Amino acid sequence: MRYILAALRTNLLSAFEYRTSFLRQVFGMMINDSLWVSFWVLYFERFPVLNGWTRDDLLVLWAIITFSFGIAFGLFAQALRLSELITQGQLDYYLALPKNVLLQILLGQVRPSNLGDLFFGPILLAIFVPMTWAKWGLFLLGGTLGAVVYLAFFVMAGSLAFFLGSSEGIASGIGNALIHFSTYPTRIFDGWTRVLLFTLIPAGFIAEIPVELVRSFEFRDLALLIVAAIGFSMLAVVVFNRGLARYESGNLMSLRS
Amino acid sequence: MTAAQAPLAISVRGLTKEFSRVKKTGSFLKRMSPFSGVVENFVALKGIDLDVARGESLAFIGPNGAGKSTTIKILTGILHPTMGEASVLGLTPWKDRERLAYRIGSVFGQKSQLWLHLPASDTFELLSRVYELDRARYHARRKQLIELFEIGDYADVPVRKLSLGQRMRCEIAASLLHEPEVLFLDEPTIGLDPVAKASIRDLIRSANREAGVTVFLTSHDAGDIEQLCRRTVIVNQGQIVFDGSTNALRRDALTKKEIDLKLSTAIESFEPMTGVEVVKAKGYGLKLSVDTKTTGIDRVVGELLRRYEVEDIAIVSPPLEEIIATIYRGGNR
Amino acid sequence: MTEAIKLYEVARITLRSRWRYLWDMLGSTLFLGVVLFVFVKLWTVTYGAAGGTGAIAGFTLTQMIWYLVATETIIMSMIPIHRSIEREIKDGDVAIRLNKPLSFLGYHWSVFIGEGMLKGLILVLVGGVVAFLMVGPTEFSFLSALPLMLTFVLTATANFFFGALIGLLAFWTEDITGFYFIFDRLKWLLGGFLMPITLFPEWLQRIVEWLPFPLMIYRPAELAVSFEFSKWFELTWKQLLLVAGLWLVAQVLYRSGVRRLDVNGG
Repeated sequence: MRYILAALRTNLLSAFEYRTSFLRQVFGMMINDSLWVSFWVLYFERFPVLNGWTRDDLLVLWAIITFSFGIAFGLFAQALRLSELITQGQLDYYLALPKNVLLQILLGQVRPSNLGDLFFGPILLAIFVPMTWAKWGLFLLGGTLGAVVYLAFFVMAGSLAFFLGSSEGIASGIGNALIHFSTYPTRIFDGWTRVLLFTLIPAGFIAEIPVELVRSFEFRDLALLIVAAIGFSMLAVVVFNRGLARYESGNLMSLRS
Repeated sequence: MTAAQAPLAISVRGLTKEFSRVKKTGSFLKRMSPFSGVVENFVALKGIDLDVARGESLAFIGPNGAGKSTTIKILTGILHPTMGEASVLGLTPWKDRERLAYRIGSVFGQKSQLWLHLPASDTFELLSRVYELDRARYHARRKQLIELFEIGDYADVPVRKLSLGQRMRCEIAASLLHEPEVLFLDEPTIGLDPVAKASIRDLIRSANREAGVTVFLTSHDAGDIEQLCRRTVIVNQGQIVFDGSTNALRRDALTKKEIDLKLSTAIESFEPMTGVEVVKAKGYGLKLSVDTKTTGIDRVVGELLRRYEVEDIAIVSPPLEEIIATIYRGGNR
Repeated sequence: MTEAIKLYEVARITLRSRWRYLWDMLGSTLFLGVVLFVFVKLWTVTYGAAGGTGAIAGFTLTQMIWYLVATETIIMSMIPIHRSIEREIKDGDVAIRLNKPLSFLGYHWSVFIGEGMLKGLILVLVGGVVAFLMVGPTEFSFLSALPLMLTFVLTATANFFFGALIGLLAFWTEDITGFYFIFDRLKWLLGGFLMPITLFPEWLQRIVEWLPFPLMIYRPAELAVSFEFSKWFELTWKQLLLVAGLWLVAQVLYRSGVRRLDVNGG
């Protein structure tokens, strides 16, 4: 834990060295997020209820997913590049260091633009949605668990490169699909799509359940979310380690040349 | 006499260029703003005079930041000078940039005009349209250049697959397609290995001789001085410090060569030779400085090979800064 | 006339250069499938809640989806021109272009249109297939194909100049990211990229009518789903006017930018 904090601190400080660029990226992303929120505000002006959700629910959704996304890919930005790192044989560097490989990779980079998302969520809530302290707590908890699901999914998608070779296209494709699905209220989907959203493309755990927690707390939802976060993380670690074993045993030499 | 027949290709008088740079200081928010900052003046060229005759080949040499690129940019019409006059082929570059563009060619060593994912021949085709070349003439010219530059084997290979040297050949060929009267080359040999460098130098020489193109070339590589052009101009800090024949330069300023030796046995003492100074002697290594005015480099090398068992030998020109320092000393004498 | 030949040749070489990466392009277009799938679900629920199959704000469900295919095609076919221009200004590549008898903006426009046509074609095909499978065909007369092609080029041109203006700001400021996000996202939102502007509240519709953004997204996309020659004529002259205005501003910015480059050094 102390290692994580130290690494994050160094990364943030080094990103902050280029203050101008850092802040412009942060603000730029917040403007980008505002666009989407504005779209939804306009939408609800015209259609006040969408499958039981109101404008405020949508704002909570956007606050949570931007917050989750910001934690996952602002602070642990290298998760987005995992596939590329593996294909180009850049893991060697991390293998030579004395800490957990996956953790070190994730902690390799901070992305200012995505930190914009991290700040956007809480600001949005604070300004536009009436909140209680309990709701703030649930927001932080739900958002953090959502970030865990995001990260676990991207680690698995990136680890495909261990098994398939160069697969940046696939990894970013399914990654983008998850992000895209999670930016919409998953309640508009039905049947098999919903099953998909709680299994293969777990947008439901990022977008829907945390919002429901803030709307009206139910212990069952919280338990489900915690189990999902732990489950996906464990799965991700297993998949990554399996792949890493292949990498270390040198089966991937052909890839690295 | 019309402008087109002007005897001088390039004529420059009192060319001065000042840049103002915005420096950001102060508080955090101030530094964030694109509209604040302190303006700093920086003089890149301090009154340059220069004449280049048609068909001449001139090396414009200087360390980084001496004003070489600024001069090229002014002469091709990209920049306006702060003061002074210039005429290229009888035109004032910054006033007649577009008209001039048809009559000059330019190569920037670090910037490619070739389309990376396509063969060079595709870029040739595009350039033939850009310069509005007559079709028959273009085809003849292309054939001629492909032969001269020996690029027939790879003119149809995507540029990204070529080596840097091959790419530079195509680059120069591309800039000669429209038969320019003056060719500007900004650091054309940068980043090339010695063999590629030598062949690019040959090409530039033959373009100059065979086609009568006036060549204006910049470099920060002292090696280019001797091998490229008959006339050398050295600039330092925005001023011309030497303008004369390369032979004169060799006589006055390029009087020192360094010889780097690696011997198979350690030497204890070095028996003196006329015109040779020991720079460093340590273990198997020996570094000598030769005054080429008093002693020929060939004689020194011959003597060294007789005396020692030599494992490796390199003859290098002194760095440009040293040459410039020599020129200044000469001026003070 | 010679200028036109030059621009045509640049567009042609762009196409040749990109053609090799056609499969790559197709692959990245598949994401459009995901986007459209989500849109179909969202608007199906919305139309369902509104009580059935009628038109909302002038669009039936089918038209709405085909409208979104059109807006996505317009937006996704565009290369990030602001970034190419910014990079050239920062790296001093602007200089190389200045040395050729070919205009800087003209060159970039040709590249933009050349690549935009190719990408646009792919997007229409992929988006069309997805929309056809999910909501069925929309009314389309092949008579309108040619005028719509012209509309696409004019729309792309307007968007080109808009992006180029943002890129040209790089002459004055170190980093244009902030400007880009503000102006580009404003264009998305108020141009009707995500939903037709007829769904906006009254007051906003009245404001948007006075802005150039709908001419860059909403009007051409709306024309594509319900084509009428009278609408086409009106849009065309408005777009021509817009392009002329943007071109003028771009010229002014470019010229004073080059002059400034002159003062500051490359």
